[in-house]
Amino acid sequence: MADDSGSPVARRPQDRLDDHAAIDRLTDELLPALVAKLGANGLGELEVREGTWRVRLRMPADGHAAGVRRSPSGRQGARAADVPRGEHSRTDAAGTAGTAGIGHASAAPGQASEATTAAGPSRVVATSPAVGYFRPRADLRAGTKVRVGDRIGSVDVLGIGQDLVAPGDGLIGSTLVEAGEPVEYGQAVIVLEQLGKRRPHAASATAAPSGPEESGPAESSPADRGPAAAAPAGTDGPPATGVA
Amino acid sequence: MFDRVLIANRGEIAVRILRACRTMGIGAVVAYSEADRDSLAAQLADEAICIGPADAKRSYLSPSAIISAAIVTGCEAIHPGYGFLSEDSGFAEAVAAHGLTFIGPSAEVLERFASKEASRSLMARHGLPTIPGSEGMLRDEEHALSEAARVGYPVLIKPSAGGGGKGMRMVRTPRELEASLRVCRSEARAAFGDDSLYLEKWLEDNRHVEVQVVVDRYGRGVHLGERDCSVQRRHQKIVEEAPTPALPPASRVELCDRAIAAVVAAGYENIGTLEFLVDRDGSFYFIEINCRIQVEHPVTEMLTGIDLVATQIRIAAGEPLGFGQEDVEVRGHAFEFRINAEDPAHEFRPQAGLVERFYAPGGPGVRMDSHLYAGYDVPTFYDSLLGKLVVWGHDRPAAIARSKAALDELVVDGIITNRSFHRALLENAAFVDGQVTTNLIDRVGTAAFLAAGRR
Repeated sequence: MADDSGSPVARRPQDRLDDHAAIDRLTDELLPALVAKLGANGLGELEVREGTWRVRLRMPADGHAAGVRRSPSGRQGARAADVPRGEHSRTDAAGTAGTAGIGHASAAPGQASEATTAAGPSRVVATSPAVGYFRPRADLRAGTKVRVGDRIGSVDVLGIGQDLVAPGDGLIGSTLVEAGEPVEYGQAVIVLEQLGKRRPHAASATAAPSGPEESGPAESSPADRGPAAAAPAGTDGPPATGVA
Repeated sequence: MFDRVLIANRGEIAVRILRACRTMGIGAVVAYSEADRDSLAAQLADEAICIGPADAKRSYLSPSAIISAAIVTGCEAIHPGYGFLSEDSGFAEAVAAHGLTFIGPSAEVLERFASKEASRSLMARHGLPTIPGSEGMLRDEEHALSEAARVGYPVLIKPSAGGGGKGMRMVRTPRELEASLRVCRSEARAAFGDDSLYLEKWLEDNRHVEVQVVVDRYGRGVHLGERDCSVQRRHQKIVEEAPTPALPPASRVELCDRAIAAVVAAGYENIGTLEFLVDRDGSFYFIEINCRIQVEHPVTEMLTGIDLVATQIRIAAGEPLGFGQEDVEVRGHAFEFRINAEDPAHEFRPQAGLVERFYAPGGPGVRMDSHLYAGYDVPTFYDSLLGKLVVWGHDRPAAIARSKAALDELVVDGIITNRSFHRALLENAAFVDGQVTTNLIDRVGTAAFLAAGRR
């Protein structure tokens, strides 16, 4: 009878299944690939349609620092900075099927920081994809050149390694976590120094409210969650899957 | 006893478990999703660790993320709270396989009570009356129709797994049964990954009464009285109280005695709740057992003075119960009002957003379990429970009077809550007389209910 757990927003079961499948495909395949494309070619905007879903990624037109919120009490570890609610709108991912937007289509954090790289000389940070122990790749040194998507380490989750991937092209900079140390989800692990020619800005008309810090090192944690960190599209919308 | 416990839940129950850990001198680590970074539990914790994104499937419902978090933070045990993985025998087994303690029944016990239909026949064997229903699961439409005819309409179609009203329909005719069967099956499959259904005789005007039990690992068990959860909207509990106004004292004692005897005989362990339906004549029927701490546990704590979460942790750590039935004293009357982020004026639509002001009510007998604070942003991803207002009085009228004052004192600005519904309920004649049945609110309609409250 009346259960303690909250109930999902009432929807037809088939819709739910379809949406879950679409979200899974989106997070696992589509978004990472799109983000890589967007970062590599310096385009301003990409839009892809699939079935009833439409995904649009937009590069921030010009960035100024997003608020870096420090956790108030004894949390461990450095963490990728939060983009305050509302600024996520740089990624405009909306379901056109009349159901809720893809609320949970957040890409893995490792991929998330990448799109902040396109516009200038900067650093980006590879963030942990999971809770576990950090294992660096043995052959990497500071200054080693890596390409976007390269495996630059892993996080050991109950004995299974999850890849830590380079969020952009660049040189291995400082490693913020010792080998074998615990990391939490989203924690900043390796800083990549990027070679700095500014790329032309496309899509300047879509004045995104405030982009992440792009030039110059941010003092605490420079990794912003880029466009791929698709927060709820339309932040007031109902959850796509109210699991609780 | 454990030195350090991982709390694998969120919201008010994460704060509640944290408080139990504090009073027991146990270090508390809160596992949170990205959406709960600023949650009260994460801020109050001795340590907080982000286990995944907002999507619960990759955080609060991810066994590997939770177990890994417990290991890297040096915890010895995991408290699952309610909902999420709290009754998942596979999770409990995985926790044990990694040398950690699951705070709750063992995987084997969870498995035994996982199917409602199986627990119903198990408890029937141990002497509890059950509602007449189908023999086993429904094989097909033909089987369903013949079983319904045998049991007698109206009947309730119920999924074997899960809860919360999903996959459940009351039908009055064979035609309705035919039409609803497929819908229930696909709802149950989507919600629980299991589409097995069974039938139960539908009791008109029933009341929902449940018995809190506590059993240690050595087979010593006591009951802590019953709770009445008849104030429901669409099978969701809204207000709970104890003792139940539905039964005279002698029947209450009989119900609780039979419940604890049956559950101990069936080999249950840790804390749990046996749910019963009570019909107009005061006959009670066992329907299911919840193998976890429940949202409404504070009602029992107010009456008995026993900290249920601490007891749960002690039992999981292997301690004997340490008290007997004769030590349990039930005093006075208590209500719990679930304060939800829902708009009663608009079909209880879930709300989210920034809490601008929050003042919790206080005074004698008033307890507010909540994770709210001014400046907290209620995320959209999870359920709508913002907190629980629990009020005790020496008798039912005294508790009602205190409840009115406490609800009037509660301030939550910036987000719509169901407070006006509770306030209307306290003026409702059926409620004041202790006559609420589970179908009352859906039958009257919430609009009429709220309008009556304003008069």
